[in-house]
Amino acid sequence: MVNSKQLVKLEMGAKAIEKGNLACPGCQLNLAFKHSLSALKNNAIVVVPACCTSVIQGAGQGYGMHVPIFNTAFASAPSVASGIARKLKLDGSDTTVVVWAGDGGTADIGFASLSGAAERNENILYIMYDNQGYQNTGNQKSGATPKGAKTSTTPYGKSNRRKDIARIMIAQEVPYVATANAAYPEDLYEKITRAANEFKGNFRFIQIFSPCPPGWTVDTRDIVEVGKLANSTGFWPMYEAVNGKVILSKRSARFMDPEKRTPVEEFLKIQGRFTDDPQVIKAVEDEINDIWEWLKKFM
Amino acid sequence: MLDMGKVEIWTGNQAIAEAAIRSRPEVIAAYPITPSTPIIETLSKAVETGRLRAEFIAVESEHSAMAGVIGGATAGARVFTATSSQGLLYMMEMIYWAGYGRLPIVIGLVNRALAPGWSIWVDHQDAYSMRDAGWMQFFAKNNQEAYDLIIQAFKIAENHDVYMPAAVNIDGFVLSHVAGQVMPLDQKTVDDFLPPLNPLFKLDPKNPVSFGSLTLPDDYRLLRQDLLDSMERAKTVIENVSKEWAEITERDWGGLVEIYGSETADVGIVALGTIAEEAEEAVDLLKSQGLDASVIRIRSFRPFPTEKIAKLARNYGKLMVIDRGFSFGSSSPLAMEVRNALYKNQVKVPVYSRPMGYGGTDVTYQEIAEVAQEVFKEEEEW
Amino acid sequence: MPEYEIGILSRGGQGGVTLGKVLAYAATYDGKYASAIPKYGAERRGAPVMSSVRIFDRPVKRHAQILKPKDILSLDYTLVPRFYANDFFEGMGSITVNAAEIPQEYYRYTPAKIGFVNVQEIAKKHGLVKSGSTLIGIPALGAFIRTTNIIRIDSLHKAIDKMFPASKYLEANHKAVDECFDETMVMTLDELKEMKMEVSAK
Repeated sequence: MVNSKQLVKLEMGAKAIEKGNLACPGCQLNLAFKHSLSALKNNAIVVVPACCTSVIQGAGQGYGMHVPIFNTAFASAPSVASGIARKLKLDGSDTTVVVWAGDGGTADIGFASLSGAAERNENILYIMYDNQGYQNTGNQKSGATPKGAKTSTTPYGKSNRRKDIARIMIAQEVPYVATANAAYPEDLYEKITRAANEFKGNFRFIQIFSPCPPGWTVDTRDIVEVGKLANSTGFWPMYEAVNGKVILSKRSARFMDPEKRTPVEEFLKIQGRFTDDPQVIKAVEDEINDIWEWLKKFM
Repeated sequence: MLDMGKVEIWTGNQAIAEAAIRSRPEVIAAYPITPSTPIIETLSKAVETGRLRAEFIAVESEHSAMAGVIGGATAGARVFTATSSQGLLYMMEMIYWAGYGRLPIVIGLVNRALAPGWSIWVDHQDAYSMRDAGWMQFFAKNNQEAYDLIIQAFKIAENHDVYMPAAVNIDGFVLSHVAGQVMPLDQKTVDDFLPPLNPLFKLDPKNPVSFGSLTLPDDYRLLRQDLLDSMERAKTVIENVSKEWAEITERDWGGLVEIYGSETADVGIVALGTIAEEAEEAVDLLKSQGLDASVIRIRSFRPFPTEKIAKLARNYGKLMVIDRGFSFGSSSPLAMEVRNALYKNQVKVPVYSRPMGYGGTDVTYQEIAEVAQEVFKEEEEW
Repeated sequence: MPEYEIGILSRGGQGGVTLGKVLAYAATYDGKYASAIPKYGAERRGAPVMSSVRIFDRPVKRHAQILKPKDILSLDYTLVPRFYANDFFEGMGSITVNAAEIPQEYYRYTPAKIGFVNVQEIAKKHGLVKSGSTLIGIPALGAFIRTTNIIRIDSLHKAIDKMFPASKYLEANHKAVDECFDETMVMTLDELKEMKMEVSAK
């Protein structure tokens, strides 16, 4: 694994994003974008459906990215990427075609086209940055919003569990599926590199936990801490699923043992989207327990 | 004159698929729907057997079919797809993306009525639904013209003065499933006529640009103005490509508009597609009854030949417009275009809107002649 | 200026639509203009179907379906009365039917000619049998040409070669077409009237 010093050096070499783009301060998806595209050495064509990144990249003729981006309609990114990937195949190009999409564009409106591209095993690296709601439009509920979280369309907390897209991708026999966390750039960098090289030619899916400072009402200073707590409380286990076999990532492995997990309240109270209602706490705990029960089956 | 030894008996769908194959698209993304399905079946087979060097993407919806060819086009490929009716409506968001995104995509649109109730038969309501999407819209009157138009559509769409998508419309079943005589062209003739796509722009990591990002009002206005201007330029390009085609093939379909009969007559029958050809028979029948009529066939609905229609209209006593669709709460779309053209150019010729043939209703030349006879007699109410 | 609007009556699965295409190719090889129209929409196995063909001496500009064809080929003799309860021929056109003799219910019609032959028997004789059903469509075209003289029999053979170059039934079809052509009995309207009178006298 690269260490942070090496990572900084690598990223200076392949600058994916210029300073002064339109991301909010502390934006985690923007960091994740930088790490991901650096891992690809900017040799990528990126397809972006309607999401925060549609805005972040810059308005009008100002453009803050060092990769070509095709901005497309909400439900269409995997299909547009399929068309690009097929043309690159004819041309014998080694450029990676990336879908860079939020959780709404992935779990909700773009779900059919995601599933279709996965079924066809298109040569696409699909990166879902998961900020657990429609943050670009002011934090509405998405299929990826966790149970109990308040959003502007679930003002008293969401009553259903989130749709676990990574697990759905595993069920669709996607050869490489991984979960990552913007708070752990080295791990993300490794996973992107692995997906791009070892699984080239296949459909690959990486879901990145990307906390949103304004949407989740978190102090900008604490936003990386939110990511770290998601890991240590067991809320967001990081793993890779290679041909259906799940391997826990190093940073998450020890939280298999519930004794080692940070109490979930630590994760909840640092954000404004959860109340301290015991029912909310229990809902999040239940969700954590269930995902680890599922993970245990592979161990 | 037909060289009967070389003529094929092809359905409209076959003609479109064969012309698409000759045009060498590199990416085809498609989803089945009656009555256009045989087009994509033929293309998928051509790709599988290696007859066509292309990628065929069997996508999970029409929305993705248009998205897939948009992807191919942005990567610099010549692309093609086909659909009908509900399929077009389902892909409509991406139809606009392709039009406003200025991608030279060609689609075979096999016209079919919209549901409910379910109808698999022809009318033009589907085509009218994409009127303002920034696409050129051409209509063929028979299978030979469908074949010819596909190849021409690529050439027109890819012209750098135009650079926008084009839809080639054929009437569902009436052309798509009827086998007619088609004289195909050999590959060399088509290659000479249609050189490989020279993309105006494409996605390239060596030259990273953002396509379709957040656009502020001043830039947005410029983009749309450019689309307006390109549509105007397309009129000349369509005429020129049509002439070039006529020189190569000896098949002159008439550019934006084709006239059958005299350029001056008591009644000009304005129509699209097969109804316009059926109307040619009606004109002959009317002539035998001593009535003087002509057919003014609109080949290009977008761009609409506004000036040409206004100029032609001066030579006719009355115009009778046959639409295969409606604009509910107003008039019928083709009649509105014709009236607009006339008003804009201060031509005072009565326009009678006579919609026929929707939801698959057969339109015979006798029926067209009967309706025309009424129009001959009309004195008011137009 | 001959203009033929032909109806082919068959049952779903008998290949009536393909026959239209063969006939259109044959007409083309004869230097004529042609188009072949299938039934529009879903086809159900065994259901009565009419497909149609236009053969003109000038470009075919008509697209509407042919509702009352003047020349009819019926692969199944029960279909003509089923499609046309009443006579509309007025001494013109023809019926070609797959039958050993003219069915009595045909006496109501007044075409210029009726041609008939047992296509079934001839096809079977030449081994045109596939999974239990006899392939009568192509041979029936031989009978149709004998009755109508619309195109030359050579052009039909050429069209068959064009449409089915790799078929294992190719030779058998050619032979059966010729035999149907030779064996078809053609009755004129006057002869038909006589027959009808004889029948009613009995």
